Amino acid sequence: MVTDSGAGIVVRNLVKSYGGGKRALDDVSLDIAPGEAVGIIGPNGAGKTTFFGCLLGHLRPQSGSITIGGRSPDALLTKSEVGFLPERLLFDRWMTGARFLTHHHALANLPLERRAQDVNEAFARVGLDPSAASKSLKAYSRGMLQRIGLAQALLAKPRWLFLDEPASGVDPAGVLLFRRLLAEARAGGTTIVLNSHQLEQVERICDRVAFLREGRVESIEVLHAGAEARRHLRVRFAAASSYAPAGAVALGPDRLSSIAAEAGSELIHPPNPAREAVFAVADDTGATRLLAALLAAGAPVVEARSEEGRLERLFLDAPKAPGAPS
Amino acid sequence: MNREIFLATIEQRLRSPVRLALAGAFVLFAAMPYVLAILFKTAGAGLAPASHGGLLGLVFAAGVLGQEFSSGAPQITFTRPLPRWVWVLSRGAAVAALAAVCSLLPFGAALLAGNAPGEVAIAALDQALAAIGTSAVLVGLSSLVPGLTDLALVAGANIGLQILGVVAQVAQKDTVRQGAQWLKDHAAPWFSPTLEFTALYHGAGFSPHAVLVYASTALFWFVVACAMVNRKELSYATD
Repeated sequence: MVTDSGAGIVVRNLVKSYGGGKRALDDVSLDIAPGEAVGIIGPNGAGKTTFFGCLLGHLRPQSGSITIGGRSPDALLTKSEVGFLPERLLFDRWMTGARFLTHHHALANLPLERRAQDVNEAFARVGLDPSAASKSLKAYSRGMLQRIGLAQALLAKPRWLFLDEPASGVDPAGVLLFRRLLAEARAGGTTIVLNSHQLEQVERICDRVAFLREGRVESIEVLHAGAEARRHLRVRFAAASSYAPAGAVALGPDRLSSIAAEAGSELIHPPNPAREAVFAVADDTGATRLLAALLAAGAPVVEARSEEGRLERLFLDAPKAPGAPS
Repeated sequence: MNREIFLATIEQRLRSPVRLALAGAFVLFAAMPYVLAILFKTAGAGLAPASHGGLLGLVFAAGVLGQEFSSGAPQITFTRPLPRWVWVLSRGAAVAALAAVCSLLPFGAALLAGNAPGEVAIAALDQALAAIGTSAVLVGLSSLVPGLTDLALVAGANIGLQILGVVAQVAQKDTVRQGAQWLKDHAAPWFSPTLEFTALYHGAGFSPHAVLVYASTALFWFVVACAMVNRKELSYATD
């Protein structure tokens, strides 16, 4: 039943248990707006893949509801707008690459007259050599399978794209290509739900992340907004008694703050007893500009290092479950 | 019925060397009497008893759903706009059609050996129906168990029926003998539905009951398969 054709993905109070009664998903609620890219992250066993299974209609929750574009995940209209790349590439391995894409082109009810052209374009789009088209999928490497899997997921220009560890086993060039393809899909209005342990990928692609732990949404973080979203640069200054650089001067928090502001950065933590200050910078250029400004002001900078990404901090800062490995 | 699933299933089955080898062996074995009749010029010697239709059903339909679920391929297929029952029907129809067509091949040799076309056609129909019936059973069982376990179930059922047959022959008490025979007679059609028109050709009466039993058994297993696949969860969660 269509409840709201303009709606995104709406998940309400989702509960899913397997045998034994332990809840893989425990009262999960999440709204994903049309065109948004949302990452699902969390430690192993958090319920991420179960959540994906429910979103795709592969698993049936005990209670709660999911609507995608106002419809059930099981509705054929929903499925005609969905693209999915699973983590475990369990394709019909007896097929050749071209046969696999042709098969899914037909199953997606795409026009027969466009089939050959669409399949050729799909191969080119994911950077697969044309000779791979006639090769059996059994002969594909992990990276090639990942590429043809993404080609399959993008074949019908989906409105809703579900990706489970999409860049796993892909070489760096492939990672960049995947990122570009996902950016193109987003520009075309595709909503992306990304499950990945590669936090840098999630950070670069997604607008928000939902952090799952033990079947619950522990937090939802907005990326690419505010100082917290930016990279952190930890800068260590020499002690006044030991530094030698001519003209170097000790700078107080107010002065450091104003230098950072002029360089387009922000002082997050003023120097601690170890003489380390933390700045939020937008990117590499921002870091260079800040360091140049600090040196120009005579600050005795002896070391500067980039801190872990935002999501890594989220992982590290999150309280660990009892008995979880440290 | 989905044409793509139907054709892909036939292609998949024909790409299996083991299935092809077994099917070839059964077809050759069934055709052998006629080939020998042609070679030794004893044409028109009559039709040999045949049971290859059911065997071909086993060869092509074994694991038709269970192996798919074990491989995990439906994970992607079921994200396509394709009702699950259509997937079941298309795969079942594909293996049944393949087995039925292959079951007809030996009868080409029977015709060349000089047998009466009408008699050959009836015998061929019997084997094609046995192939379709066995395929239907395998489709149903394959929806219940993973991989090729459906073959084990069929083998177990047949062993059970054989044991019932022995009991029906040798049991001391009449009630046990009759009970075993009754059970065997009523259980057998569930696992090897057949229709025999050969007897009809030779003057026996037409039995609407036999047709009804055959059709309802085939339908029963398809319904079982559709119901099971429809409620099946793709439990690939390993996170």
